[in-house]
Amino acid sequence: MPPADRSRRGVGLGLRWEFLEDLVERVASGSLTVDELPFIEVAPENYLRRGGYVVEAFEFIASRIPVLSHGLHLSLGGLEPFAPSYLAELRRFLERFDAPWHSDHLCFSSVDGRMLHELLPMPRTEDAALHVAARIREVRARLGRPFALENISWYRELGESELDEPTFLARVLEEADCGLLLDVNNVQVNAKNHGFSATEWLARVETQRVWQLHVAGHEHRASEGLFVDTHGAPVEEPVVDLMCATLLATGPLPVVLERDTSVPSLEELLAERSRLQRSYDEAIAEHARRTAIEAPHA
Amino acid sequence: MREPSVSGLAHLAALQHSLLAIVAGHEGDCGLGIYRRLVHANLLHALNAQLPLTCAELGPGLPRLVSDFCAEELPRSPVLRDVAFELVRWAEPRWRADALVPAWLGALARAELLEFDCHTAVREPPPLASTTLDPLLPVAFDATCRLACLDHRVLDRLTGTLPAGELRAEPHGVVFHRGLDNEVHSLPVSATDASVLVELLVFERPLAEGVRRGLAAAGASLSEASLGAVARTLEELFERGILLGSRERATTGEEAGAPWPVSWRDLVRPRP
Repeated sequence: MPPADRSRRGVGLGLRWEFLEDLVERVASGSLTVDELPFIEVAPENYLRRGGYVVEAFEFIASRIPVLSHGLHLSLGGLEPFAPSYLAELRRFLERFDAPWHSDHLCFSSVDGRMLHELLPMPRTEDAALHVAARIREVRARLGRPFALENISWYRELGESELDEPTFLARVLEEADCGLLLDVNNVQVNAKNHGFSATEWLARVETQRVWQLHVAGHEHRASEGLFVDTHGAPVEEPVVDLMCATLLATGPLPVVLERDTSVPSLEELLAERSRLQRSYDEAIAEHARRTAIEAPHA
Repeated sequence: MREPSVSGLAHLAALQHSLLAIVAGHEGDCGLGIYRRLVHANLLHALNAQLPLTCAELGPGLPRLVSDFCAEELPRSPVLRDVAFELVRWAEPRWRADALVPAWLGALARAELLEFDCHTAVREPPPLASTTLDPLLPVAFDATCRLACLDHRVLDRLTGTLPAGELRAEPHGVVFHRGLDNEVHSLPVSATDASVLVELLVFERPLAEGVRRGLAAAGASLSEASLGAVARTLEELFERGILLGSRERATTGEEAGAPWPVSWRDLVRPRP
């Protein structure tokens, strides 16, 4: 079950500098509150060891809007020790902004001290699952708070797979006893690229472990012959459907709308957020209705 | 709790090394070339955000530069915004050796990055011993202060005064400083003053020793004229709130934090 935290529910936004100034103005004027934007998600690495306008703006927004923390740099599948200084700074950041958990990706992004700045797929083996799980346990202990793992878009398999993706993911989650940040856009991208049913994939997820969702857009790259998780387009309806299907099973959770490239105006993003929120509310209402029906029989 | 097997970890390491080699371009795609292209695209995106003027000058040569950087070096910092620093440090000697690259490109890149670093510096007040200058103590500068030692007038390109064309060769320095309004201001200084500021700001030497070393490095004598010029520059820095007084001591290792692979101090002067 997710950590008890009711301050972050509904659909929030990944914070981007493209609309930072506009967001500060709206929050400062009171025209945007938690009613219109229940929370924001940030990558701590963008604010650690940093000063200036961006940090001051973020700190101001965070004083009014709750924060979720989602990192990029842990390289959970990597083989090098975690940098103590990074984890210590990250811990202080999480404490300062009262993040209920920290999350990062089921991937590796560094080899032999070389940082590749991309989410690279793990070979789906039993040993790889145990390795990632051990790393998650270490991170959780050193951060002093719960941890959620995100599933990634993968374009090619690395090595021979012993396990399919849902089994590999489940193995990691079980061994680490951590939460799942379920990125339903990544599920859809992988389903399109590798020819499986996203709905059937989702049915194999242990819903009790889902703490948070990501939704985003993706695009087809003809040069690659693949759909790529660009976070550069509006969320397509099938991804919204996956979000709703998940919420029907889980009940209320924080859902983050991610938009990292071709970022439109804040106005446009908030409009998309509102549309997603309506779908969210319908799914939660249906979840509540089903739960109420089932309760007398419990 | 179960642990992975030694052979399983060895297999994982081998696979990760193979993907590293593909990203670096040392091995053929084996169907995984998309990851090399994604890594390159991420690095290009970061470079264009932090070095727009330098990247514009490089034009179609930029993707090749990134590809060569990945083949020879690859980033070491986990922080994406450090990639530009690492690449410029690696590239500058190569640019100097390349007759097709403008002679001023390295200076432009360093100035762009030092200005960027000034924008993002943490404004932590240094431990002040005094608001006056003590010749036996290091000098306290505002934490956002950055220094670029340049051999071409690249500031004209940064400010948009000269948006295109060749830039005049002239050894000098530029001090960048961020005001309380978060605006970054630049102050050109002479090459001699820049040499002194390297000793005081970068190496945090006590004032008297730093002035002596800096003048010697610039080939200037300890004359009244030289010392007077330095004093006027330090006075101007003081009036602008860049120079704060004397520090109790040089920055300790703990205050500096665990080092990232490249610091702004590595870009103050051209890499030999």
